[in-house]
Amino acid sequence: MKKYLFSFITLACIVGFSSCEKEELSFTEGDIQIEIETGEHWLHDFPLLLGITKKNPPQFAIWLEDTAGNYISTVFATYKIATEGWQSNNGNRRKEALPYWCHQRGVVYEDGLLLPTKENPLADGITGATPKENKTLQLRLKSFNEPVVIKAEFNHSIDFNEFFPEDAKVGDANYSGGDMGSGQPAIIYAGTLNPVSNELELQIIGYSSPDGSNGNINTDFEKLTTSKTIVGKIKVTKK
Amino acid sequence: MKKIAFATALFALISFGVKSQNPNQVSARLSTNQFELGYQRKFIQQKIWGETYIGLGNQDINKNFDDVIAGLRIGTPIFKNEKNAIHLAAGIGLYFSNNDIYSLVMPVYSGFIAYNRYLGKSEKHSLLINLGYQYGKKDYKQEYSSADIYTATIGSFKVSPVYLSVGYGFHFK
Repeated sequence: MKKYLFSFITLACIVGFSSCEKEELSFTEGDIQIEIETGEHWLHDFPLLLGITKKNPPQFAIWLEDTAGNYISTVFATYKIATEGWQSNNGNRRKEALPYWCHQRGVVYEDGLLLPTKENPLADGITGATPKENKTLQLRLKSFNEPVVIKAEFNHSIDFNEFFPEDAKVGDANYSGGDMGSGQPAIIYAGTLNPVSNELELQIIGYSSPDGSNGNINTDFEKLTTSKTIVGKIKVTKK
Repeated sequence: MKKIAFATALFALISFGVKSQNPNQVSARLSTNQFELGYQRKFIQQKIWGETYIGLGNQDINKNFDDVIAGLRIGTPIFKNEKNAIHLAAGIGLYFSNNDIYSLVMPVYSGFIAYNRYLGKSEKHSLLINLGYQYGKKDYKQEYSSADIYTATIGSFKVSPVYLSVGYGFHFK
């Protein structure tokens, strides 16, 4: 027992010390740093049971387009949307989660929807856990001679407000997926980075289809309340 | 070595005056985040026990019960009467994640209160409730390269700080 204890504590100490090594991003000249700063409503109460709630971060995706609106590549997408990794969704694919990204990306899956599936998820390297704090991404474009548009879409589920209520019916303009649906629709940010510019802050350009049925951008911002402050700031810096 | 001696002395002091009991036990515990099987025996002296456990966890990114957990705990009774016992315990363990996004082995440290409710007259069976705090956090790097881009980011995996489990224990000589 003592030998076993000693061996285990030694192993745990080795792993413990190695886990103190800090992982870091190493930028080189020309790399692009994308910093997502969390806003006041980054975390949202999600009900579990008996009045107990869990603080959930939003689902989001960041991707690149050319200035003509053609999709180039996804840079990062959160795990649930990228792998159909929802818990207890009873087959609901949550097409209202990030519909603008889905439509811009334009990949149609077996069931006719534009959402990645468990069988065909997004690539592992661009799929990650939803951070509870600020997030930094390193981006290197293989060719950067033309301006590139950086877009991002964020959404919380069940963040209902008076314009996007829980009791909206299927077919209503403000229907957002029912009682466990989106609530306020996904909010979209964008900014154009030129090869000669060094800094950029993405701006809100609108919100997505509430029920995820199309890839349109809506701009009547007065209907949005807390969703406007999911994100604090998205800063893009060229190194 | 001094630290181990100090911890042993501290545990002995805490358990001073508490009636001795049979600490030998096999157990099964379940919480929302893990399922574990434990083997507990008297350790160093009568009032201090050591437990080794192994089990499955679901705290990594895919939330499936397919991660492996293993570790050691030591504890001592701080209260005991005919039907109930309360122990103070500390543990060190390893968490092996199992998913497509990252692969890591992370140490997890814990401190908790363990409550035993003996069932029946023989003190052979008991209901076990553990409540405490645990800490385990590790960063990982993700990279992706395609014809258009290279991208990298740092992710962070952290276990839930609250440890609450309910289980069954079988005591043996």
